[in-house]
Amino acid sequence: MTSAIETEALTRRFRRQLAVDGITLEVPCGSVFALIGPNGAGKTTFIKLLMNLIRPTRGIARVLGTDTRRMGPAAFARIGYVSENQKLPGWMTTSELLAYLRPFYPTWDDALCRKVQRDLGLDDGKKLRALSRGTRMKAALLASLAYRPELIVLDEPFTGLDPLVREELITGLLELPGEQPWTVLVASHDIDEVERLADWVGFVEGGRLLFAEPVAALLARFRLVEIVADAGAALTAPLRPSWLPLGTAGRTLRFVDTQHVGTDAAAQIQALYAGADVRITPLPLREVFVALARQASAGRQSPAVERI
Amino acid sequence: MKLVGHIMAADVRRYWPALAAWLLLVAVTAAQDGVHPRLVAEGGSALALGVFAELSRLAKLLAAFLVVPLIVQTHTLVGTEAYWMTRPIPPRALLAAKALLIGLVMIAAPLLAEAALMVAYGVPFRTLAGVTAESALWQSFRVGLLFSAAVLTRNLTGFALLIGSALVAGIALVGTMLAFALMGSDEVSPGIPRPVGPDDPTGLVMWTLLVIAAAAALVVSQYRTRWRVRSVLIGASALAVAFVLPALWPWPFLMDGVELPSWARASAALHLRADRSSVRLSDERGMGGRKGWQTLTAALRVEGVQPGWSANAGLLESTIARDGERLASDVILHPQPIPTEWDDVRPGEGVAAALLGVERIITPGPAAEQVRVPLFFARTSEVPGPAPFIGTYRGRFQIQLVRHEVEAALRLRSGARHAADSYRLRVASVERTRMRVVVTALESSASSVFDRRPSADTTFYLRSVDAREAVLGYASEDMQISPLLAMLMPFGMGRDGSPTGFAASGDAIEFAVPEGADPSFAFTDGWIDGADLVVVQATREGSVERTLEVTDVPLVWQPPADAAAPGSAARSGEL
Repeated sequence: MTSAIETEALTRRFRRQLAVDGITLEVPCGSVFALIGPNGAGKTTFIKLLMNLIRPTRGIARVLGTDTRRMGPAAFARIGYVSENQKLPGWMTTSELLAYLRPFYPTWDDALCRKVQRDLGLDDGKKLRALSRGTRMKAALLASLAYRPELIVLDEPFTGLDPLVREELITGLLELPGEQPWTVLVASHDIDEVERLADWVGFVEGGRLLFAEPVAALLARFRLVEIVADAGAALTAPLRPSWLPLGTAGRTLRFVDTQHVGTDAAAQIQALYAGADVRITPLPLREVFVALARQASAGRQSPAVERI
Repeated sequence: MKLVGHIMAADVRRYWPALAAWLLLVAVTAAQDGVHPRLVAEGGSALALGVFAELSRLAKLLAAFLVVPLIVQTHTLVGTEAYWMTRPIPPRALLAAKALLIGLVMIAAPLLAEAALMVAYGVPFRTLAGVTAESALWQSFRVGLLFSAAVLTRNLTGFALLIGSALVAGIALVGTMLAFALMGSDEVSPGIPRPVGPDDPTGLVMWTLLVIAAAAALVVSQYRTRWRVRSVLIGASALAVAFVLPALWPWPFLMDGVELPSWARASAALHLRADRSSVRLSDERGMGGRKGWQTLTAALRVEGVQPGWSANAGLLESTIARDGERLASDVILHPQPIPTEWDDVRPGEGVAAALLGVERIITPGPAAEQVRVPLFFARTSEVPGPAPFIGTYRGRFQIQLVRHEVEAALRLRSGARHAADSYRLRVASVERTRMRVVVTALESSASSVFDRRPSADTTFYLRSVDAREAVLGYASEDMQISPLLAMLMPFGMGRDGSPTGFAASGDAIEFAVPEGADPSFAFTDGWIDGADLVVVQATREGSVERTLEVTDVPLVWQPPADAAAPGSAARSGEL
């Protein structure tokens, strides 16, 4: 099995609203896959479909080789799921929650559990309902890591958390697996947090997956291009379809090249705007998504989209 | 099994105060059911305890509505946010844990309390087992409905809304049906759908079992799929079967084993006789009639009944024919007591006198009137008239025989007691005035739907063998609010007013002679010294069919009320 998650034309409709629109996706085993998209893009619905919390209207999804519609205790014993919407049993303390869950997991690792509890600095005296949101998320994460799941699914885990807690969660996720790396699927609209976490990224907008590829490849092919024309000269060359315009300010034209691949790419731009001052710089992931979101909302089709 | 215990233990830890409160209520109400009748019988002031008993019964009823959803919705089956839904908690183990805990707390605990109560009252094991099985059935029915509502809702609010909506819908449905029935009352037959046979709870028991099965199917589906629409459809389909199958069920395995005595089997053994002079035709209600119907009634008597037996008669079909003209009625009536040759006027009185070995029975209340039995029904709009119609009446009747037995004859003093099978009676006190004797007694009995012995009505007599007289008594139980509760709840909680089950009560049995009814009579010391309290059981046994024929009956049909001549006061026609 090379993919921890596979979906084929996965669709979910709520009456007239198409929340997930034919998403076909593969999440490689061992990867940390970030599903990015604005609020209401369909990320949570997609994850609920993967967790068999809702049924697909159409299409199929397999998680760890199991059709999600047939997911049972055996599959859930290999998956850790943490969601901002999840309602934990507030009447339990963290220890009571762990003691309650322990018998259901054959792979429960007490040593790992203690280590994570210590690392996350989880206080055990209070009921879960009395804990702050961040501490509750830590408890949820702890309860989802202690049995060494093969797949961890996180739905907006960092929303509303202070930076320190975010750092602790991310550190926990990245450092804990040790020799047996787990696959992580994290849905978030917080690009900064997933940038250092993810090695794969997918972008969801309006229920559709616009692309999914390794972060390194994505960052490699996106470049910010700034062309400053000489005084009195005009920038007349037309923009290519793979260039996302950012606007013109005075003599400066700015656009994002979404297919900046190979050494020839810079030379081609330079040749097109001969005489102008061409500056090409890498884009942080945030800027890439801002550009993509802008493109998506404008309804433009581009090669970047067609790559999916 | 380990996981089932693990989940159960967590639920108990979570809700132990509620569970403890429920169990306490079960114990308290059972203790009250046992103690309160004794206090009433002993003549103590039991009013405060009675009110407390009713309040605790009400609290128990409300607690039942609370405990089931609390246990079930700890792991809610609705929505997508509950943490357990993405955990490897086997639905089967979860369902087993919930069902086991609810079964123990909501079914087994009340059954245990009731069984303890029956043991305290000396109910024989066989009857105790039957009553316990019946109670288990009703408790499972109630719990099944609550369980179903709990798995379909996310929280207590949703549960309360669903239960409330179901109640409102039920009331609206019944109200609508009643409204339609009342609107069309002119067309509603005054009779019953079919002849009365021996009591047969098979259909009710089957219906209850099938409703429990429907609830179980819904619950299992919801645990397996958490798909409400599908679960409700499954439950509704099973419920439809529950309403259809009992009507088609051919084997009445719980029907009362009634006896038809050998002397009644010969076709000539019993016959009906109508007093021709008593025949009346009326379009008024109150004579078994109904608005829009003409009813022919007469004083009817059954002859050929052996000592110790009385009879009820119910109309099956009737005709009046003349020279090829024929009026027919297919109205069927429930059998009602009619006099035999042993009775003077009041049905069963002669049988009782013979059974008690007395010459007369003194009955409180006004003097008895002749019992009139409906012979024929016709829609007012269909009757011919006003010309006399002289024809031959022929009616087919069901004659149900009732066996009377002396269950006990107790000396009229405190402490006198009787015990036979599951029936217990203990006299607690006797109060006497010149014309009135009140016996307070502790009475208990137990029976179940699985007991195929026909049910019996109990009558009390105060008898003086020396005076060769007996006075009929009327017993009033101490129950005050329970019957109201029983009306509000089908198969109400605890004492439910059903004819079966275990019941203990402190009775006040009053024997009163109306002032002026018999100036020569009084409860004198001499009368009372030789008196005993006699308990008579009347058991409805088998039936036979007999035909009543009256020839040359000249009938003057009364025209419909709206067609009657102005000023006409006559509302009935004479034979």
